[in-house]
Amino acid sequence: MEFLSAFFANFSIGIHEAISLVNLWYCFLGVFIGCLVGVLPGLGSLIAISLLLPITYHLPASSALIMLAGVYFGADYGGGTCSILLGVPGHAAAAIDVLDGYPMARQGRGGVALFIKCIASFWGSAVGIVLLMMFSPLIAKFAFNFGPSEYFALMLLGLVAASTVGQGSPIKGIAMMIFGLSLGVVGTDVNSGVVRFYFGLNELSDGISLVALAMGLFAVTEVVRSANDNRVFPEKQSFALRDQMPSREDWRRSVFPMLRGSGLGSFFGALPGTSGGMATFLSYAMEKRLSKHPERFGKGAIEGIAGPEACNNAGVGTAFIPTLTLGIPGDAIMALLLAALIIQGIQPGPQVLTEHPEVFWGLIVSFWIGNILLVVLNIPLIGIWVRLLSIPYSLLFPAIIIFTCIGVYSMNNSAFDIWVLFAVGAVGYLLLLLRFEAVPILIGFVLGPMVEENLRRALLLSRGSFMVFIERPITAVAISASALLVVTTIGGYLKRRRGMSKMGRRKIVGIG
Amino acid sequence: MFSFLDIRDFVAGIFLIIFGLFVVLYTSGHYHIGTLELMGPGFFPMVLGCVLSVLGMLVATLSFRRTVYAFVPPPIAIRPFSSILSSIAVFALLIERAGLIVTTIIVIVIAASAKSSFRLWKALLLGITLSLLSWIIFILMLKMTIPVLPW
Repeated sequence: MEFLSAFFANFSIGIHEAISLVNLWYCFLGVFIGCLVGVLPGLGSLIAISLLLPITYHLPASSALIMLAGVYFGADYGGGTCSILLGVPGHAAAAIDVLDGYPMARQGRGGVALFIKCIASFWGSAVGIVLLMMFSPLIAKFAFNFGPSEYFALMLLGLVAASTVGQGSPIKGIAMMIFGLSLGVVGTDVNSGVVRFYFGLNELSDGISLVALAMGLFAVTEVVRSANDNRVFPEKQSFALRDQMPSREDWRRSVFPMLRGSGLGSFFGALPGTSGGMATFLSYAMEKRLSKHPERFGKGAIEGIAGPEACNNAGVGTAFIPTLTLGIPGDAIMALLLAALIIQGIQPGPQVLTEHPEVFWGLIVSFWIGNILLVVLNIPLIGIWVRLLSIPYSLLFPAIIIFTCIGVYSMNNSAFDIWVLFAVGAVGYLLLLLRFEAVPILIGFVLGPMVEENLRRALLLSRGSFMVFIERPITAVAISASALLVVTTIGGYLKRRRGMSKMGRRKIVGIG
Repeated sequence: MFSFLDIRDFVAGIFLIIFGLFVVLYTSGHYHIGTLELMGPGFFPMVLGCVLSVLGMLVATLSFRRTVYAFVPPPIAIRPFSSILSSIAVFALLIERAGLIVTTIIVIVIAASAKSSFRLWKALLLGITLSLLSWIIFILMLKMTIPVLPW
């Protein structure tokens, strides 16, 4: 009972905070912008959130987070539109919708696909948010006993997971994570006051600008990569409510995939490094295996949309658990939200729940409002978003570039930050060509100063003895999990590669 | 049987080694390392630099063991790369001298030339539209203090 009454007290703080006119407006603005960038291919929530970061400087903490989280949810709802109607994934997390959504659109059932996607997204989000509400206070309570060694170990686990679970080589992923950590070293060292790696440039004494780094890594490289893409336009389809209504058969097929997808997504979302694309592919594979007619998959099976979409959005909700309660982000977007918290002067960690309950619970209530708004925006108003798809990229990308430049410049009114953007964009594109991934760089950069600080404190308290990482149970578990992850992912990668080159050889011989 | 070195992984490894060694050398030349108990400002970057060089060697060595049957040059998008980056450089040079409106138009025209189907009048039109739009959004609505006009 005590638990329940505390819960309702908190919830009412949240309602009080979120249902102010200002915060409702930022919630709406967030989901609207999110939908917009989600629908437009090549503009993901990552770019949108880094574009909006400078603006959040001028907002109160809860409005800032409400808007940014709205963008994240909105982009997830909007993201599938492009995949379903054009057969081109707008961004990674929506790639799975292409498999069955596009065939459905080709059969003239695009409206039904979009409708089920929206319902599945809402269901997934709801599950994720309920879990977030239930588990965050528990984990935060638990985390109050954490010392620097626990934080260091958990951050290490987060960093390792986020950099090894990617598609490419885990060795290169870890290398990029460490590259990001080293970029985070630039600037004034809080312990000694020494300014590190500033090369005589006083502008660097506050460190590399996060916004310039994020924009350079994601917006600039993406534009360079896809400026010359030519896009197909959506076929004319009607999106009246009548055309979107799924049949009884569609509903029957979708219910269980949604339930299973949301369970899978909640689990993986809370783990670092696995949110986004990977879990949705698992959900798709699971539905295909469980189906009595796996041959329908890839040809317009509605289960192939319902499961992964619920999975994706459930993961969005639970991804907030480690970010808000421990200050450990699982992916690049959570890293940016964490940075937004720090910009606001809120130290991330379990004390966010006790010292800033209005921020935390206000955010959660705004999730509910945002998701309801998104259903309204995406079912009756879907026609508007579909029309957006016919904007050619040749008009879009110069706009992205100029807004990026103005956004970066406006942070400190400094032309120096634009040169940082230039340098990061150039290096980032070259790194991409060398098959490096950009996400670990950003996560490493954001966590870098905190990792260093906790490592220093842990070893100061233990008088330089590494035993501190073995004696404390949570620390020991997190450290061994990180080590295990490194060994198994690299081992698996090497094995996979050997298998691949053997197969390649056989193929060549066969042709010869 | 042709067997090529995977140039990209090799270059990637070399890049990591050079960057890591640079961090190590620069740190040891400039910052106090300290001990495990009392770390100086140089301790953490020193560790990072060492790990990066080791990972670089690993990546470069492994690249020899991967056999590739056709040499595909990395698909560098030279035209977008040069025009997008020069448009950003131009923004950095002009924004404080020429103001938002003029800078936006010039930056848009340069950025738009990334596309092979570039038409000057279309780009100019887009530039003028976007300069008005960014004036409305950033100056009127968000009240940012960015110079608007050259005078």
